[in-house]
Amino acid sequence: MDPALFVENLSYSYGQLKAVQGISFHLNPGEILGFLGPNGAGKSTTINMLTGQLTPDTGLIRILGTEMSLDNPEVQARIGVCFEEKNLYLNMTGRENLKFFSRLFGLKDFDVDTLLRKVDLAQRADDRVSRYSKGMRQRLMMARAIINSPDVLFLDEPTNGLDPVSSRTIRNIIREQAERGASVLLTTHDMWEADELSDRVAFLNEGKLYVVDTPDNLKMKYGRRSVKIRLGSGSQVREETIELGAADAGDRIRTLVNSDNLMTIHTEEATLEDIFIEITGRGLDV
Amino acid sequence: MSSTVSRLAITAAIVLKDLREFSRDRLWMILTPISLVFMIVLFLVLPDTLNESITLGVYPSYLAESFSLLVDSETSEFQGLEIIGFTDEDQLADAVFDGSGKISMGIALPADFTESLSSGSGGSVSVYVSESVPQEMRLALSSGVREIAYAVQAIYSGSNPLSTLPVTIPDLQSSILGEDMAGGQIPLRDRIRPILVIMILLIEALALAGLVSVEIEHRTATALLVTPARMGDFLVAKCITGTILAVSQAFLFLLATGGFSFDWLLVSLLILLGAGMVSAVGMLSGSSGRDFMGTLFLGTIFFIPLMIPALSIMFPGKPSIIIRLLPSYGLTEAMSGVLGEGMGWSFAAPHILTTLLWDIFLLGSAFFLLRRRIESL
Repeated sequence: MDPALFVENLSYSYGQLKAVQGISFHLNPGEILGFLGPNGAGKSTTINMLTGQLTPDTGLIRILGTEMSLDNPEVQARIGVCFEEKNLYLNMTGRENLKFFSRLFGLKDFDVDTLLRKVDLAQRADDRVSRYSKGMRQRLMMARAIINSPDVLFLDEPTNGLDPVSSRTIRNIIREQAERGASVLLTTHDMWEADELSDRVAFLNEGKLYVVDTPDNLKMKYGRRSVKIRLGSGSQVREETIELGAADAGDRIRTLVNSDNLMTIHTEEATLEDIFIEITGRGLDV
Repeated sequence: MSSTVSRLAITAAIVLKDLREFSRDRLWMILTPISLVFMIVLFLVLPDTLNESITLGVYPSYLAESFSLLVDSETSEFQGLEIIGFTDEDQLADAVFDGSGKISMGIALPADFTESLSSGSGGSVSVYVSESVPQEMRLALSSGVREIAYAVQAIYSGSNPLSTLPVTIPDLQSSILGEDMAGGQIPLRDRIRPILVIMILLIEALALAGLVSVEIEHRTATALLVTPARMGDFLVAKCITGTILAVSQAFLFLLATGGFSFDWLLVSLLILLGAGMVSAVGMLSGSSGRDFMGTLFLGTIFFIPLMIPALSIMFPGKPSIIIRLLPSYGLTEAMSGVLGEGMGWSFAAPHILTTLLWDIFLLGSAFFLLRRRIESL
C-alpha cells in the first residue's frame, strides 16, 4: 500500500534557527498520526511545509503519489487544513464562510447545512463569525478543513484551549474522517488526546524526530510492566508493586486479589508524556 | 474529492467575497457614500460660469457711446470691457459702491472736460472703484484716464491722438508664458472636477488597502492558498476588487456631475487607468501595514504625492519637473484636459501612455510585495 504522505529528510531554517532538521516519516491511508511535541518543536513549520505554505530547505514531500510544491492545485484540492490560528472571515457568517470555500474547491450545489449540523453550528449558521465563541470558531475551522472530503487532513492543534464539548465534537470528526479513509496528521501537545486518537505517534523536539511508533508499542518498550495493589484494613493501608516479568508474579497477584483486604488494583503503564520525557529529555510543557 | 475548478471561477469567488466583506465594513459603508455625496455637493455649489468682463460705468452718458465704439472694435485691446452710461455722477458712484459688483469701476468726467482740455487749463476726472477691484486695476484705470485726456486734447488740437501720447507703443509680438487661457478660462467647478475624481479614486484605494490588510492580519490569505486557489488568483482578484470599487464610485460621481457629456469612452478609459493605479496603491499600502491602522496611515502617505498633481491644476503656470514625475501627473493632466477643456484623444494619448506605464510598474510592484508578505506569514 502506497503511503498517503511520504516525507524524507525534510529541513527548514528561520535564519540561523533550525526549525526542522531532516525529518522522515510516512502516513498510511486511513491512519491518524499524532505529532507530539512542545511549543517550538517544529510541528507547525512541518505542517506549513507539507501544505505548501513554506518551501523546504531540503527534503522530499510526496502527497498521494505527487510531489508537493507551492503551486500544486491538484494536490491541494485533495487536502484539508485546520490551522492553529482561527483564520476565518469574521464579517461573514458561518454559512458564507463555508460557501465561499466550497466555491474555491469547485463544489457545485454543496450542502452546507449538513456540514454545519455535523459541527453543531446549524443554529448559528447565519450569525457573523465575529460573534462566535472560540469553540464555535474552531468547529467552523474543522468544518472548513473537511469541506472537500480530503484524502489527507492536516490538523494543527485542533482542540487547543477548547471546552470539553467542542473538543469532543472535534475528536469525533477526526475519527469519522479516518474511518472514511482519510489520512490524518494531527499535531498536539496533549498526550492524552494523542493517545486516544492516534494509530501512531511521532515525537518531535527541537526540530528533530525522535521516534514514530504506536502508543502501545511505546508503552511496552518504555513503560514499567507492573501492577500496584492496595490492601487495607481499618486505618492501615498497604501498597504492593508486582513486576509482571517476575517468575512468581501470577501467584502473588492471585493471592492478593483473593485477599479480603483488597482495595484497588492499578496497572503501572507509562503515559506518553513519561515516554516523551524519557526519550527527548524534555517535557510537553505548553 | 472536489471537481476541477477554473481559475476564472476561483477569482470570481474571491472578488465576490471581497465585495461582501466591503459591504459589511461599517467604516467604508459610511465613508464611501458620505465622501461621494460631499464631492458631488462640492462640485454643484461651485460656480459653473466665469465672468471675464469688467463693467465700466461712464458719466456723462454720451461719452459711453464713444467708449463703446472703441471697445466693440474687433481689434480692440479693450475686449472684455463693458461700458454703461450714467446721466448722473451720484448714480454712478452709488452703482460702484453698492456692493452688487454689477459696476466694478466708474469714470466721471466733468461737463466742461473737453473745453478745459482744449483750452489747456486742465480738468479733474473722478475715478470710482469698488473694494473688490485689485490695486493694479485701479492704477491702470488712473493711467487710462490720463491717456484719454491726452487723446481728447490731441483731437481738439487737430493732431493724431496716438502721436501725442506721452508713451509710444512699439510693435510687439506678444509671447505668453504657459498656455494662453485668455477668453477661454475654465470655471472653478470644471477645474476642480479632476481633483474630486482622483480623491474619490484614492478613497477607494484606502478601502482596498483595508481589505488586503485584514486578509494579512487575520491570515485568511493563508487559508485561501491551501485550497486550489493560487497566489495569482488572489492578486488578480484583489486588483479587480479595487478597480470595481474605484470605478463604480468615480462613475457615479461623473454621472451626477455631467462628466460623461465629454468623450465618454475617453473618460471611461481614464477612470479605468486611474482605478488600476489606485488599486496598486491600495495593495502596496495593504501589504506594507502591520495592522489596519498602520495600513490607513501608509495609505495616506501614498495618498499625498498622488494628490499633488491634481492640486497643481488649481495654480497657473507649468508644474515643476518633480510634479511631472509623479505617477498621477499624466492621469491628472488628461482628466483636466478632457473633463475641463473638452480635449480629445490626440491630447490625451501621451498622458494615457505614461499612466499605463505607471500602472504596469505600480501593479507589478504591488503584486511582488504582496506576494512576499503573504509568503512570509
